[in-house]
Amino acid sequence: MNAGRANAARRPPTLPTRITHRIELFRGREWVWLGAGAVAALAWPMLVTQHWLHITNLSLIAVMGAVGLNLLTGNARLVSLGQAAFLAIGGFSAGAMSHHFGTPFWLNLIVATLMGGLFGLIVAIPSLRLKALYVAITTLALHFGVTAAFAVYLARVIRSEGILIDPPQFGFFELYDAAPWYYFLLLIATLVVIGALNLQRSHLGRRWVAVADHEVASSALGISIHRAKLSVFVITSMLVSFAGCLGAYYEGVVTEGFYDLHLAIAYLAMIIVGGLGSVLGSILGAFLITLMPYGLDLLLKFGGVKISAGSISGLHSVLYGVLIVGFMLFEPLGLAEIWRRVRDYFMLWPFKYRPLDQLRQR
Amino acid sequence: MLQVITVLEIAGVYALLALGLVMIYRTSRVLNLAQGELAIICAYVAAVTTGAGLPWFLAIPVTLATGAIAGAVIYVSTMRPILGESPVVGIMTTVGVAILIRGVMVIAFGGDTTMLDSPFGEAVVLAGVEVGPEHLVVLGGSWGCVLLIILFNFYSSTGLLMRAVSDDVTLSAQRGIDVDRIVGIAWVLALVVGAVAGYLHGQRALISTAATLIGVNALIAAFIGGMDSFRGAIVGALTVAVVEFVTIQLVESHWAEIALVVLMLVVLTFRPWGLFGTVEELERV
Repeated sequence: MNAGRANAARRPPTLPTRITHRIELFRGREWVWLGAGAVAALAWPMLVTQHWLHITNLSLIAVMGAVGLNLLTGNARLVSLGQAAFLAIGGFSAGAMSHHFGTPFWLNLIVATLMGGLFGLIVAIPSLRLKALYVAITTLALHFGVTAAFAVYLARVIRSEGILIDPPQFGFFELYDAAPWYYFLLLIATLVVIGALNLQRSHLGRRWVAVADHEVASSALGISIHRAKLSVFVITSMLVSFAGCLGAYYEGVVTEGFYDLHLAIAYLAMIIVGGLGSVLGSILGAFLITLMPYGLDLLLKFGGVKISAGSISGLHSVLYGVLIVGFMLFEPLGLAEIWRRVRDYFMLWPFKYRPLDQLRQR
Repeated sequence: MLQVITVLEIAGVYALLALGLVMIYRTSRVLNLAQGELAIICAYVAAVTTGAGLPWFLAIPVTLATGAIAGAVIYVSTMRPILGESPVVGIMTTVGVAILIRGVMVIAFGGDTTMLDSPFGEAVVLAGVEVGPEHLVVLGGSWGCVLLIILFNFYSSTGLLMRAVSDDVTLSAQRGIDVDRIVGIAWVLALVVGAVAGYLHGQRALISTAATLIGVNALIAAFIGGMDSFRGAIVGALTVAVVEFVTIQLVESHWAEIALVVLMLVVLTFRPWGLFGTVEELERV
C-alpha cells in the first residue's frame, strides 16, 4: 500500500481516471463545501414542506434518468427519443412482475433493469450499421412501438387504465412516506452520479467519446465500434429503466399515458439545458426542468393570471421548446458551462484566467 | 375499390410529408422531426379560417402561406445559425421546434379535435362505386402535388440547383450557387407541401394533437425509401400506407404502429440507406 503510494507519487501525473484520484485533488475548501452540501442534503426533509419534498424526490428520480440519457446523447452523441420508452419498460416490468407473480421489490428492480438492457440491445443492433443521425428515428420508432404494446397489454391483459404497485418492503419497514423515500433516493442517486463520473473516466466512457468523435479514426486506434455502441446502449438503457422502475414504485401506479413523447422531450430538455456530456449538467437540468411546472404555477398565482389547465400544459411545451432551441443555438454546453464561467469569474477575480500551474494540476 | 382508394389517400398524405423531409434532408442534411407538427398546425389554421366562413379558394392560400412563413422563420432563425454543425445539433433543434409548435397548437387552438369541411358537395360514381367528393380532393390533391414536386425537381432551373446542392455543397458554392438561398427555398417549399398534406389530412380524418403521428409515419416512410431519394419517399409512403391499413383491418390500430416500427427496423438492419437511397460514400480519416 505504502509502496504503491510512493510509486504513484514518483510517476509523472496521469489523467485522473478514478474517483479516488478525484478525491486526492480535494483540498480544504472542497471538503468544506462537500460537508456543507452533505449536511444540507441530510437536513432537507426538516426544512421543507411535504409538497416540496415530493418535488425533490421527483427531481432525484429525474437525475438518474437524465444521467443515463446524457451518457448516451451527450457523451456517445446518439440522440435518443426513446427515453420515455425505456422508463416505461422499467415501470411496466415492475408492474407486470408484481401483478402476475407478486415478486418483491428488489427482484422487480433487477428484472426491470435487465429488461431495459435487453431492449437497449434490440435498438442498438440496427444502429450498428447506421450513422448517429438514424438512431434518433429508431429510438423514436421504439417509443411508439413500446407505448402501443403497453396500451394493448393494459387493455387486453390487465383490463384497466393502469397497474397499482405496492410500496417496497424492507423487512417490517414499508417505504411509503416522502421522507424515507427521500433518503433512499438520495443514496441511490448519489451512487448513480458517482458511478457515472467514474464511467466517463473509465476506458469504456473514453471509448464512447472517441467513437462519437470519429468512428473511422477510433477503429484505426483499435477500438471496437460495435462493442462501444452496444455497450453504451445497453448500459444507459439499463440505468434509465432502473430509474423508471423506481419512479413507478414512487408513484405507486403505472399508466400508459404517463410515458408520452412529451416526457422523452422533457428529458432531452434536461440534458440540453443542463449541459450535454456533463454529469453536473444532468443534475442541474433534471432539477430545473422538474421544478419548472411548479415554478410556473407559483409565478402565475403570484401574477394573478388565471388560465385553463390545457393552456398551462401548452405553455410547458412552449417553454421546453424555447429552452431547447435557445440553448442549442446560444449555449450548447448548457448550464454546466455557465456555472463554470461564473465560478471562475468569482474565484479568479480580479484575474481572467487560471495560473498555468494550477491549470495543469486540475 | 374503396380500400384501394383509402390506401392511396393515406399514401398520398404520407408521400407529401416524406417528400418534404427528403427535400430538407437532401439540401441541408437535417432531419426535420417537426414536419408532422407543422402540417397539423396548418390544418388547424385551415379549420379556423373555413370555420370563420372563408371560402375554400381563400382558406387554402392562407393555409399554404402559413406553411411558407413557418418554413422561412424556422430556416432563418434556427437552421441558418447551425448550418454545417453536426447533425445531432440539427435534430435536437427540430425536436425543440416540434414541442414548441405542439405547445402553440394547444394554446392557440385549445388542442381540440376539429374537422375540415369539404369544399365540394356531390358524390361521384367511379367504376360502379359511389365516391365522396372529399376522397377525390385528397386523391387528386396529394398525387397531383407529388407530380408537381417531381416535375419541379427534375425540370426546373431551381430544381437543378437544388440537386446540385444536394450532390455537393462545397462544389456548388464554388460554382457560384447561392447555397443559402437554395436551402431556404427547400425549407419553404417543404413546409408548403407539408401544409398541403395537413389540409388533405383534415379532409379525410380528424385534426388533433395526436394527429401529428402522421409526421412519424412519414419519417418511417422516408427512411424505408431512403432519406435522399424522391422515388424512395413515394415507394416508402405506399408501403407504410398498405402496412398500416392492413394491420388496422386485420387487428387494431395499436398494432399498426408496432408493425411499422418492426418493418423499419428490419429494413434499416439490412439496407441502412433504405430501398432507393444512395450508399453513403466512405468516411476518411
